[in-house]
Amino acid sequence: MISLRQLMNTKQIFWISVLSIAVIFSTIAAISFGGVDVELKNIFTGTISPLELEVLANIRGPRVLLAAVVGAALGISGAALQGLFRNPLADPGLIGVSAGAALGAVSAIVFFKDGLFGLQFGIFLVPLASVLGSLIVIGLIFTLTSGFTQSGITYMLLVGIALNALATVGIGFLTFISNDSQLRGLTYWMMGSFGSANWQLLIPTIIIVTIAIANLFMISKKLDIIQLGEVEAHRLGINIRLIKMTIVLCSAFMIGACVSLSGIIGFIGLVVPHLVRLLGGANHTFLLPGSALLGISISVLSDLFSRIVITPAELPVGLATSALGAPFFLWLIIRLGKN
Amino acid sequence: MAFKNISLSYKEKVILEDISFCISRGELLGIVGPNGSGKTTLMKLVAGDFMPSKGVIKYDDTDLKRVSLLERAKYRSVMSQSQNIIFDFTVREIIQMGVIGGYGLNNEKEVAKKIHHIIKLLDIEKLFFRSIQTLSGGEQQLVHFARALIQIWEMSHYETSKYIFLDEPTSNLDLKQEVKILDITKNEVKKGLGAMVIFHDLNLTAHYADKVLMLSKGKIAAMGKPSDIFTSDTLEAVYGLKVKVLKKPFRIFHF
Repeated sequence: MISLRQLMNTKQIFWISVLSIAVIFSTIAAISFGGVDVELKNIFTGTISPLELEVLANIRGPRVLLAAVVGAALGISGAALQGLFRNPLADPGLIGVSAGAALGAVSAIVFFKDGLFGLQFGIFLVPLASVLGSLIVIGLIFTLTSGFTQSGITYMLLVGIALNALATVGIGFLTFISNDSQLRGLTYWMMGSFGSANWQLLIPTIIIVTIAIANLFMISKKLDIIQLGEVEAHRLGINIRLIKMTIVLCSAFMIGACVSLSGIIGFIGLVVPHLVRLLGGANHTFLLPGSALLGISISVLSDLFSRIVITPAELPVGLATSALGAPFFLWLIIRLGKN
Repeated sequence: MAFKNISLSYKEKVILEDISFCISRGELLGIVGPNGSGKTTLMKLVAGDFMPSKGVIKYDDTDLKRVSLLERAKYRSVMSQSQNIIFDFTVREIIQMGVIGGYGLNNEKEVAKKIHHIIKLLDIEKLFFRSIQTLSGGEQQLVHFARALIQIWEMSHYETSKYIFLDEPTSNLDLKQEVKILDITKNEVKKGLGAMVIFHDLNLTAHYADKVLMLSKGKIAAMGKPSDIFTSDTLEAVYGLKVKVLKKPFRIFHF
């Protein structure tokens, strides 16, 4: 049996505890505050009003849970992709994985929702198309950058940015040819929001994200060894192909499923792993759970901010995360440049 | 460990041609040759990074193709010419990565003991908790040597066949560190380890290698004891430079 002490040092255990507490507090805050404030203690005293119960069970509860699931998925997939590509700038949003997922979703809405596929897959059509979109983008990045050497880190990012641009062109074109009712849905994807959370889609997403996170945890030590370089890791007995496949599939499924529900939420996958590394170190046994936890807090708090800042209207949460993340990205590039 | 009639071609260009040799336990094989003669490619082939176009590589009596990745890792370790770690790992974490099989999860105490011995041997205790990014090129090279050594290291003597391959291990090191790495390697060889080291400096090769393989344009130009093959005629033919060879003490001069 592996103990926690074997996976993390004392400082890292401390930070994981702090981040776990932060998740609890941010979740309580996010559930309590909004258009209608909910007193959580009323649940335990049995004095909860029907309105509060309705808000909790069907509106804010699934919404906060979706924000948490998306935050965890983006945080951990950012950390895993940065580790796999050995690139501190890899982020599902920046390298086009989220845009690929959005393009899949948008294609499904414009072309297939009212047709045979729409009937067959029902509400799962959009999430499935989304997963397929992110899989295609990760697969392309992987194939196109496979011959790159260590100095190819920037090139890998540029390939991602080019694919991101292509996916965005696709989304733009589909937006152009869509009808009015489709256009409403499409605009929503581009901005990012947790507003349409519903249990029917949320539960399969939670299952997908949980399975993916569990799989990523299992390979965290091997992901450390990959930091020596693929050739060195291969020489140390690591089956590189298997690790790559696990990360690519887990990230694509998580991001695909999340984007189909929340739209594109930028920068969490980029910012969170860096902050976690600064807190406790770069080993993935700490980085992966740390990124999932911090991802949850940032996502849930960003959603809370976007709900209460201009009440009764709502700011798209993707705008809030990008407003926070873009300056950080700039700082990171300048720091890398100076190094 | 045997290498039989190995050839490697890439896009119709012959990189290595008809190379045969073996490395024995308790022997340090030095590989020398001009730039581009195929030294590093030869090491990559021996390490199993890719397979030759022709010929057979055998780890003990087994064809390398039939040896699993994990078995290879237990059998031989490799230190590359240069390594680039992107993220902020500590020296301790890097050295631990060399421990095969779950990197230290199964027998934590034994692994800790091994690491303690290795860092003491290399005199890098002070660097142990530092970030690899903050170290000088030479210090990083010592850490990577420690990582390669711990992969196959045995406390007393090597009961089973184990090998270490070092590609110009002293390229970033000052004189003291250079001697330290080669002395440690030589000492492990005396304990029964087999070693293959790519050298840049012929005098160092003559001092440390039991046997030397001299490559020229992808072919073996000479193979044997350093004192036998380091002759002015051979060196001039391979390097295209007039040299003087002094027998006692053994020294090669090029001016």
